Amino acid sequence: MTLKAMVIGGTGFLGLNIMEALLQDGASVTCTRRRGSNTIFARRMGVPLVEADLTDEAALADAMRGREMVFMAATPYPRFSSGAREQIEHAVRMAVTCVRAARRARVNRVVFTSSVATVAQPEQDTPATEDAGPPRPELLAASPYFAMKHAAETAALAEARQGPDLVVLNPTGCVGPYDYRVGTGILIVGIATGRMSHYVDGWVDLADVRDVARAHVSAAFRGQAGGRYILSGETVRVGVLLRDIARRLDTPFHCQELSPAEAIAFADREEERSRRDPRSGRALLSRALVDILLEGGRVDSARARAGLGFHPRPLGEALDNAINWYRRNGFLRPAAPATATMAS
Amino acid sequence: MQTDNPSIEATVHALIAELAGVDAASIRNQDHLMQDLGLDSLQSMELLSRLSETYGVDPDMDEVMAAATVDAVISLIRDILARNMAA
Repeated sequence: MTLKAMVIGGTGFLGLNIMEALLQDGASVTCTRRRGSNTIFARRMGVPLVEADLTDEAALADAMRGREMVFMAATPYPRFSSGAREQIEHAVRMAVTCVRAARRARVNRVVFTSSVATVAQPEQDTPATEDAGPPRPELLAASPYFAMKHAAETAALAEARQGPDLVVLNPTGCVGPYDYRVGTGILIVGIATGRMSHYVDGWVDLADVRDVARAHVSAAFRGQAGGRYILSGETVRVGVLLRDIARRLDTPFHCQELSPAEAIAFADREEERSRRDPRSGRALLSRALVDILLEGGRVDSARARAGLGFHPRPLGEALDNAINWYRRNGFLRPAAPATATMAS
Repeated sequence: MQTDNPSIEATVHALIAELAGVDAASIRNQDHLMQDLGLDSLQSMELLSRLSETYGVDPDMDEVMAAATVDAVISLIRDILARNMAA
């Protein structure tokens, strides 16, 4: 029988890949959209789009009615580190509203996309697992990104105690097709266009978004209710990764390495510059990315491999696929030279 | 829906005015979306996405990424409509 699914956030990067995986399996898919969504890719897939306010429980329940599975892939990403409290409250409201609406619409299961940022890094040099506990309080206080992901996931799990089934997925950084907003892919696009002028070294884990999307579909059937699954690919040092990307792009590597303190100060200044004058362009380094890179470590996806059949492809293949997508879609044209300096 | 050139131009100007928060009358066709009108790359995509919904056209993303001025946006919509008419 045809699965009836709704993807919340289906016009975004991961959402589009989840929809593609569902359609490959012959599912009937609908997708929510905001007024300002880029719908070019979703409309090409032929998926019906439903305009929905993700904080309006009744409207969202109406949109979900008749759907068996809901994929909640619309958890927000802090664009600027200012106004953190409001952004965290908004993320929590969206998560709770989604679960309540699904209950009201008698949806069987919600697959909730969280982040590996909600999993603590062990103090010993061992990979983090789903049982490692939450991130340490100092990190949650210092990083809006970590705080937002942790708060939204916690709220969704708590709300789902009254139903419906909820499975949480905790992906690492994703690269691949449909990253038109250029999230983690800034590591590729930034090197290709010369916009990534600075970086901070640390550990980063990357997976191909198509493998992560496939695991979402699998979680709808095979995931344990109330369970959490890390979806990780390969973990590498940022400096090594960026040089590898430059080599794959056949472009010189000119990034300047910053210390952690310098990187935080630089990212905060860059975000403030971009916020004050949007015409000056996007931040050359975002605070969320700095936090992720500084806190990154090895993670263990054994539970997802065993329970969901998650088999991430090699990182080199994922990077080449992502590079090809960006190239085909016009994202790799060189930009004007970056003008930000450490002295600003 | 009107798809003549002045009508497309007026629709593009009105949408940019809404997204950029500027007066539609102040927009010139040679204006650069980012430098002159303050649209960031995501707002430029939203502009093309909304225009493609309005006119029922299906631009490629590399065409969207390459449309840097008001004139280029108008030309893109006009050209796709012409292609569709010819097909």
